[in-house]
Amino acid sequence: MLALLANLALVGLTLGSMYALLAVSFGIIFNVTHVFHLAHGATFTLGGYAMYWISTMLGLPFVAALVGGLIAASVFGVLVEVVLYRPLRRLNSPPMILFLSSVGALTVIEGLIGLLFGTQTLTFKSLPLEAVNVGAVTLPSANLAMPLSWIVIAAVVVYMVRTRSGKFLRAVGDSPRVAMALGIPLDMTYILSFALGSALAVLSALLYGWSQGLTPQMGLSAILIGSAGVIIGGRHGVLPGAIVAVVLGTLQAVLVAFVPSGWQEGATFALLLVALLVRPQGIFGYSLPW
Amino acid sequence: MLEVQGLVAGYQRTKIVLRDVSLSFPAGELAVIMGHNGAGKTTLLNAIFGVLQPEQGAVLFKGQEMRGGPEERVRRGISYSMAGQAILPGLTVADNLETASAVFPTDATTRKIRRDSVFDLFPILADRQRQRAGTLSGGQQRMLSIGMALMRGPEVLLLDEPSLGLSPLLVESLYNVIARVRRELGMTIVVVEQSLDPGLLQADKLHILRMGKVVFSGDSAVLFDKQKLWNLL
Amino acid sequence: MVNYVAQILVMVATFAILAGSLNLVLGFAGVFSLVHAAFFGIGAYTAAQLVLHLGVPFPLDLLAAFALTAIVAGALSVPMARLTHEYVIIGTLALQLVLFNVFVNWEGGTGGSYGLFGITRPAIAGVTLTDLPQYAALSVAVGLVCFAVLFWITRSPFGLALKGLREDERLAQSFGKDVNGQRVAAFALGSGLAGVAGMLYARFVGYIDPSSFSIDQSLAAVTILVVGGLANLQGTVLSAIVLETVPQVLRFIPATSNAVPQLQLLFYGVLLTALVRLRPQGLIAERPLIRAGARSKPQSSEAAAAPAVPVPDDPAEAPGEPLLAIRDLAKQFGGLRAVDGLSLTIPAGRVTGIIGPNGAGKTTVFNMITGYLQADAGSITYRGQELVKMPPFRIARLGIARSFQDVRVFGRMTVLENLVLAIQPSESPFTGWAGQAQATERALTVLDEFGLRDQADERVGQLSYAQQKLLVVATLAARGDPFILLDELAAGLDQESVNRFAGLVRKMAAGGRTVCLIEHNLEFVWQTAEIVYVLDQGKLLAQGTPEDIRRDARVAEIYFGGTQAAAHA
Repeated sequence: MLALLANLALVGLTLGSMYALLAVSFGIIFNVTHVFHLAHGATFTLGGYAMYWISTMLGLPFVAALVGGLIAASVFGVLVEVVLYRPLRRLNSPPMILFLSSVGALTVIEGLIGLLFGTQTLTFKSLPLEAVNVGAVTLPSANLAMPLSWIVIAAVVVYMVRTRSGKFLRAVGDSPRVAMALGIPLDMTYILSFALGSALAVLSALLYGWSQGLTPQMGLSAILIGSAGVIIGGRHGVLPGAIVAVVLGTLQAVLVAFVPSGWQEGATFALLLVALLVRPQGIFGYSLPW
Repeated sequence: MLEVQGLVAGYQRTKIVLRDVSLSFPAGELAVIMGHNGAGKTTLLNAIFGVLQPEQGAVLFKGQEMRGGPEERVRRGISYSMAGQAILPGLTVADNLETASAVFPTDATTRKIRRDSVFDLFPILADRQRQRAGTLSGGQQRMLSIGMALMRGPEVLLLDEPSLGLSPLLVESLYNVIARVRRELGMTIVVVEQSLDPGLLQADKLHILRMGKVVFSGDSAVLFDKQKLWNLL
Repeated sequence: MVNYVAQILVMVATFAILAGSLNLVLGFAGVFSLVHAAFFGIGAYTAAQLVLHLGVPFPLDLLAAFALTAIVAGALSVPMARLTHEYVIIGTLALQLVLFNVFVNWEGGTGGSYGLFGITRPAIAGVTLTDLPQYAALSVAVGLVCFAVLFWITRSPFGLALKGLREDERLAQSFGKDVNGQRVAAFALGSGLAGVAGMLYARFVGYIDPSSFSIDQSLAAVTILVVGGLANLQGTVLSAIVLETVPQVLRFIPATSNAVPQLQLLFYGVLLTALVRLRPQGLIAERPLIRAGARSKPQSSEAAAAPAVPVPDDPAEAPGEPLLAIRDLAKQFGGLRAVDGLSLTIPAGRVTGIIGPNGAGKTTVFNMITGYLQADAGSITYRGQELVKMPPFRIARLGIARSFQDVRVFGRMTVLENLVLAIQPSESPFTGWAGQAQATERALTVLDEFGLRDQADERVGQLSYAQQKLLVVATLAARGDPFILLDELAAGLDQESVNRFAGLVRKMAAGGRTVCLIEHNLEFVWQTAEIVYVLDQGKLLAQGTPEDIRRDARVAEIYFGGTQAAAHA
């Protein structure tokens, strides 16, 4: 039993690391702009399918696919900000209205992808990575996904703390009013957060697509985990969301030993719901510096 | 140095707060703006700083009209310490100062000099560099906010109700620092206050706003003439 | 052809009910629920199982679907009632995914991913409705009944209360409204009706599986709702007609029939995005529930003159005796001691003023008295009853009313609606009608007295600052609470308004009510208060009559600065 749990924990950490990256990508946008960017799920889906199209359908090398995916996602994210959120903010629209526009964007992308690619699950054929099966979950080999995710997350932390634009992101997220008084350009900072957050989502989509395959609806549960991680973790800084997401992933895998196959997702989300109800202000609050 | 001409400004078109305000702030002077709640003091500062665009009139800095937003102001050399919480609460004191100086590129030496001078003015901040700014007391936050404004090396400093919520003792030491800043750095300073003890702050000029208009503009000595002052307000 | 139309009618009816019931939850109560599809599913599965295994006839299957779904939804919403903003979104999204997971895995209850099949059409008066037009007629009938219920609820005092809690929950609480309870009730009812739609759907298609009850369906319901207009039931019907007909028609075009679900998504998505982006204000253009309209000026009747909250004929306290007692009250925010061991009493039937420089803790004290803030230590007793730890709406029901420092009104509701909501005695959609009618009469009288009668049907958000403040005072006057707390009433007003409001406050006290006010405008305090407390840094510095305070050198010093002190004496 112990060996099984240890194995599952390892798998969970891998899954969780993917989720952590996703949480970081959502968190950058949410912590800075305070918009519940549901359309981030669309960014996730779009990035995944763009990479698929470039690598599997156009037959181009993997690097081209990755770059293409990053560009497509960033452009989409920035577009949503510039075309939807910013004009609505200028009109002092309540958050619910911005959220509704996000729902609209997500729905459009889901429909479009379904039309263009069909609804069956697609897999990245051209990538020579082994996968691991655990219960109902398939994962890319742990050797790759975990360190990759955390290297990226560490890079993001360094970026936020050390660079000028990273400081802008933190300042605007902390107090847009004061950031403005310091002369920080708010509009550009918002665009930066969307570009960066969307690009990070693509990396997560890559790992996800390798292991689970692509469907037009993959964005939604991804978004739930990512956003829940950020909100339960406490929306200050990058790490709290990542940590909660890792815990969620680990939980989801470990539950395989306790819960009949297929129920893990529901059980995980149920636990997530309980956490939300019990401590809505977030577990970490301000205690982590990044 | 700084001038506003015929300013008509407000919020959302229906709420006009400033009705034709013209004032000038010569270089190196310390001016105080007073008035009741709702008279337009903060609106005036917001218009000067570019937070809102006036319906009519202009804001001039060194003779040139400014049409941009806060970024332009800071770039040109005007810094603003807002009323209420004017610091970044989630960041440490050191990070707050870092962020303030990072906005427009400054070389490392200048940054260090400015930071050192901020700590010289406010020794309490030097002791609390790693403390999260949101946990500082009201007075300390105000000090940090002014410190952040100074990191830019501005020529004009705008202060909105710096004494709000501070005990009389703190107010006195704060005003001493303001006077020092003006002396040592030759800065033009505009301070908005609701109430002011003239013995504490040696202002050059006093301007009084009432219902969006300037009802008095002259020597600050009038602060000592209670009767006249209360009639004007 | 007739069958095609009938099929479309059934789907329109089903989704109109789904969207209409969501309107109650989202449009009226302001709860952004993404779990609606799961309740659609619970109703469908309930009806299906009852029909398949017990042969339950219509309308028992409908009633069971409604009841079970409403109960489950109600139970789930109790812990979730205090979630707000993005937490509601995430919470209901998580719930939707959990329930969907149950649908997919619980083979015993839902048939798992294979679903349930062989669900028969209902039989009415011996006739089984296998004919499409017959079932269409039934669907439309059920739809009409559901919408009748929705109209009844939303036009009732309860509907008005829901709008209030959507607009400003804190303000609603200050009028004694149990906002959490109301939210749960609306959520349960709305979800129950979604269950009814589920029953209609299940017995129509005969085969159900989880794919019909996924998050996509929740989003589709949101789209229909938004396109039709939030809190606009007629709009929901029209929207459902258009948004359901288009995809159904697409099914019959060979070129598109394969990709209908994706096309529907695309269509909905584009429509929603375009509408939100191009006419965001238009999304919430709802009509007032109560209008003054062409009513003539009301004659004063006894009912109109009676206050909503009866002032006891025999108040327990004689004027001057302590009504509210604060003992050793303390509140800390981080390192800041906002209130530091404060003790004072408010005497009945008098006007008490609380003054002090900014940051002295005055509003914090008010917020603790009225329950919006929890004290760290100390006690607050009103007529002997301990207020600490009581929720705001209960404190309000004890007879304690307040105004807020930032003028709070139900912005998107009309002046008349604001006042009626504040004074209507009961929210019950069954028994509250008479009370609301009386409240309306009284409200019109009060508006007349305060010179706001002409603005009765205008949205409060359009009024000037001074007029909004006047409405706040009118509301407090109309409610007749024995104890009133006013937070910086005179702020931002010109001298004439200040004098007028001072007169109104004095009049309230003359009528036997107790007023306690926080003020920066000392003129206002000298004009109204009989007793003044001075707070500084969370502690009591001085107390006495206005004359005492004006002469007190310490007060002058903390307030005006040393050398100015002499001037104000």
